[in-house]
Amino acid sequence: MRDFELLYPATIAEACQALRRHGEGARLLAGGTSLVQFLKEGMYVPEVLVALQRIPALDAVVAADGGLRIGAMARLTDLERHAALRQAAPLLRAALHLVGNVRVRNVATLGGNLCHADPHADPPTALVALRAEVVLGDGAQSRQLPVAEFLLDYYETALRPGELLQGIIVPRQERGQVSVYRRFTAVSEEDWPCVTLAAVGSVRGRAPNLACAALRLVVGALEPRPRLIAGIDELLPLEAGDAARRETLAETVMAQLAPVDDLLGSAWYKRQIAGVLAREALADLFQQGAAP
Amino acid sequence: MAMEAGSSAKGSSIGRSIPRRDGAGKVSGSAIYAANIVRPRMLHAKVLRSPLPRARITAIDTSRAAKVPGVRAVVTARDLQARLGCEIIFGSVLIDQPMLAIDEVRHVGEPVAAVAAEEPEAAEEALGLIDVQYEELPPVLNARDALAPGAPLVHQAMNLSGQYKVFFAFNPVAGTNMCNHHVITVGDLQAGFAASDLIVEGVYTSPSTQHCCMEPHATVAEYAGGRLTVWTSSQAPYAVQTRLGPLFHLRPEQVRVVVHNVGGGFGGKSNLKLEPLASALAMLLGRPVKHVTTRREEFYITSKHAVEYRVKTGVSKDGKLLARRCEVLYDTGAYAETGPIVSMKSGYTAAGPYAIPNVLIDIKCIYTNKVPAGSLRGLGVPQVAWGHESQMDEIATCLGIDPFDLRRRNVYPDGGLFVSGENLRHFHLDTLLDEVAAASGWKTRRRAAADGARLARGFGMACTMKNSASPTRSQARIWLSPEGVAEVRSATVEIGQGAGTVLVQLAAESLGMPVERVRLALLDTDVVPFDVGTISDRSTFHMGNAIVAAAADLRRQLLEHASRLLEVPKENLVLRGEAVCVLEAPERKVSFAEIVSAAAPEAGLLGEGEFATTSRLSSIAEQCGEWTTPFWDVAAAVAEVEVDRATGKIKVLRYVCAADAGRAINPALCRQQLAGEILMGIGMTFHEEMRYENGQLINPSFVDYKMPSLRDTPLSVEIVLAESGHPDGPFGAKGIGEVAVPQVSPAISNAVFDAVGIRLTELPLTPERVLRALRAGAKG
Ligand SMILES: Cc1cc2nc3c(=O)[nH]c(=O)nc-3n(C[C@H](O)[C@H](O)[C@H](O)COP(=O)(O)OP(=O)(O)OC[C@H]3O[C@@H](n4cnc5c(N)ncnc54)[C@H](O)[C@@H]3O)c2cc1C
Repeated sequence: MRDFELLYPATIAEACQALRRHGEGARLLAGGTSLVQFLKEGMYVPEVLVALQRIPALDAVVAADGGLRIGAMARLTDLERHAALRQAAPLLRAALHLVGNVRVRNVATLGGNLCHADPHADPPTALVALRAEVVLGDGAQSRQLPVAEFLLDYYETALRPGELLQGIIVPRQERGQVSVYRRFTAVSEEDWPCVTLAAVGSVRGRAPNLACAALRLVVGALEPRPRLIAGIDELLPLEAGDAARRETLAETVMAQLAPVDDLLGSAWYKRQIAGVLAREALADLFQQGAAP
Repeated sequence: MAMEAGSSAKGSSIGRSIPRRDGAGKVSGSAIYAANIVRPRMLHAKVLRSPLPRARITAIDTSRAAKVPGVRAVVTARDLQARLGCEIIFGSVLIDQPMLAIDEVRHVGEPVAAVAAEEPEAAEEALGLIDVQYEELPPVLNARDALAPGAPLVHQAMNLSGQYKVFFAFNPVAGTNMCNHHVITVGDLQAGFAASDLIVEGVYTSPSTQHCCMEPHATVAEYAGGRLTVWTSSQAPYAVQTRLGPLFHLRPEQVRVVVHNVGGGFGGKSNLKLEPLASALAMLLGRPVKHVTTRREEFYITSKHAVEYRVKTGVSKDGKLLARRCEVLYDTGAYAETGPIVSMKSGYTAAGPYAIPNVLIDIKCIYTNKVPAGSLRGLGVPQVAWGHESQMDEIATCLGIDPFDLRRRNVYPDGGLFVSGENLRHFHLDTLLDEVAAASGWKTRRRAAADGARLARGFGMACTMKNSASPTRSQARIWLSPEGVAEVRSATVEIGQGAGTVLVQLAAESLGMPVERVRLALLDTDVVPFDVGTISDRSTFHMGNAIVAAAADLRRQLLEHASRLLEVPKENLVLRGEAVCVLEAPERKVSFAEIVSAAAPEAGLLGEGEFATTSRLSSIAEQCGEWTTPFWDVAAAVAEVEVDRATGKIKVLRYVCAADAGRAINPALCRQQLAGEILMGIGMTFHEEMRYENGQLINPSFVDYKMPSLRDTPLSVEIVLAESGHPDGPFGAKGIGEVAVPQVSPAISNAVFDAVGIRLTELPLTPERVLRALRAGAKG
């Protein structure tokens, strides 16, 4: 690892100034869990690290219209335990809880997780399913973008030079809305997931005559960005007892994915697993819907 | 953790789970490792490694690198040869490995050039500025290909000058890639097959894996006043001394080796690793040199042998094994390392712990253009056991015999005639099978889930045997200070296994002292006497015996001096509570401290002891019936698993292992060792594999190479610690540091077969392999 200068700006404006001044030579530092790995591997060789730790309130979680605004520097463990978040976005909480291990979650931030833009990350899959948006700022102005448009490719985001991620706006999950987050690790339990899947929907009726509508399914880890499964509206409302249609839905999911062979498994295998997760997620949604 | 109170004069020190001696230092961070050593004027070394599996080096330009501020030297093999005027090739068995590649690179990650600089960062920067021109050559990337006629030779000529013949039968084959080839035959194989009712054949493969020690390799070397001192992360300081010296025309006593704590060894630190190059640089530059590897580099230094195990077995209807033919290919990578030993020592047990009248074992240790493979916990036995224990299950299925009964019917009894021609001494695997069956409820086991359900459960079993290194020698001293404190001077290395604690217990017991009054000396070859190494499960047994002998020597001196002081014949005296007392009148006594002040004021008393074994593996070449090992590692295990038919994922619900410790000197440490072995076996079974693509290692980091985490452990691990009392062990003890690894993979795979009826023959058992087999099975 090469030497670098470590800056502690006191405001977002100062941080962005530093980014502009040092251009390519600067990197933002949040919890450092991913950044340090990249420094050690020589993937990033920055001259300046701009640490965000001392900017006040950048880790705050506040109510925003129709949901919550999570500060970029909020740590995953704190979010997992956040009562309002648990209520407003149980899907996100479920995804956060499965990230790495407790040592990582105690340090890693949600902003860092998103900006690192590793396609295997858990939170993005859930955030896309929830239609969350990011708030990006350059110290003077800010703009808002759906998470789905923020993530571009492997380790690439829509951040512009001199810009940083300030916060994430997560819409409140509606009453009656049910959600599931699932991930599958192919090697160690603590490995990066081989496939992730988030589902949000609403289940109506009384067991056993349940039907699922307004279903949003997102599959992660298989492609450079989370994939929102298209064309499932025509299968809705989906009745719990309609086994054939449930299977059609699982096959729709599998058909849309374009996984690649890598150390976590072959494309064939990952597609099978996505199908398994989709079937499990549906079953889980119906189960939640059946609960009084 | 529940802990018994410290030992007192009243109780015995044996069989007690006293706290580890190395624990507090490690937990508090005060423990010293080689990487912590700092010497005045010390330089830092870094190594440029080959990006290619096989290539000719046509040019190396170091001029730009040499200009980096702080860089003191950039050296190649040619520089070392010219300026040091010494041999730069070393090895464990064959002298075949250059400190820096000479004209040709033979594996990805092989050191090509070295930089020494004032700061590690400067050395690192300089590495990027060394310009090496390569002419690529076609590599040999697996053992089978390496045997093919016309395959490129990894070594054009094998250097046979430096073979260490003492250990084992050794037969490199000139003009081939085989650095050891050996065939063992017993009985008449053809007749055995002809008489068989059933013949089963199979090939079982296991990949190369990594040691993954928490501490990477680290060495500091200093040459001053005609002596070379190395502080190093070694499991075998005297092996470093005896092999390093000759490289530089130094006599053994001119080489001093100091070993503080070692953060895990598992066999990967048992021979020369960084020491030769660090020493060469220190001698060349006249300044101390430190070399510490990164995690990534660890993957290029040494590894476990990938093995292809081919087996054919003939059985009678009633389940008697009549004939077995094994061919075992060990991929030893670009340098032999301990490969010839690993192949021979696991190879001769490749037919398994079963009395089979007709056997042929064909052992081949083969060079390829991959990372060198050497010793790794279990020393090749996990790879062969994967095969023979899987096949035992297949045979049981074919014959409709319970796998336990099949094993019980064929397992060697104590005293059984082994393929080596020796009668297996103190070999109680039959009892362990009974114990593991009882503890796991084997006979009353019930498969939980019905067929067709997504989750299916099953039970599997395995049992194995492994030898220990021989002939070897251990020496020990115990110094009794004027204050009456005993200091144990032993070259056994604390590699995290708890050896230091156990040796203290043995010394305390032998001297009738509380463990609190016994300490361990720093491991410095100037202070501690010879030991061959902390390898092969041998320390408790060998060093333990040497310490017991040293204590006996000290006891004899104490009795003699006390006899004079008390004016009572020796025969009427006993050691009790740090004093020598008169047998009939225990109140008449003289304390250890009083004896020392009278007999050797200020100096203290010194007891010396030695233990050496004569059994040797080379005897099996002649099958002359000599023992090949001082003791046998034997264990049996049962696994219960749950297989997810949808994903192929296997969960180990319960794992029961029965292992024989001879005598558990420290039961908690024994259980910790066995649990650690099982976890390591879990890694080999499910997770670990050094993945190569075109000779490139594609997962040399812990992001991509996965060890098991605590969340991957079986839901329940139960250990049956058998104590059969080995007649030659100190207080009956023998080693248990490797015994429980080899059963894990086959026991689990056999349980998978029991659960879902698929037979897997390739490790690791990834969920994808399981799912593919399930799908193939469903179709077929
Ligand atoms: C052992 C281990 C296991 C892991 N397992 C998982 C897992 O299972 N699932 C998962 O999702 N993740 C996993 N991770 C990744 C981890 O969740 C992310 O590394 C973490 O969330 C990143 O947050 P951080 O605060 O540490 O970011 P840092 O490492 O500090 O930064 C990451 C990147 O984001 C940039 N950045 C940070 N903050 C901002 C900002 N506000 N604006 C713009 N750019 C910014 C940095 O410059 C850097 O490029 C694992 C990590 C480790 C070490």
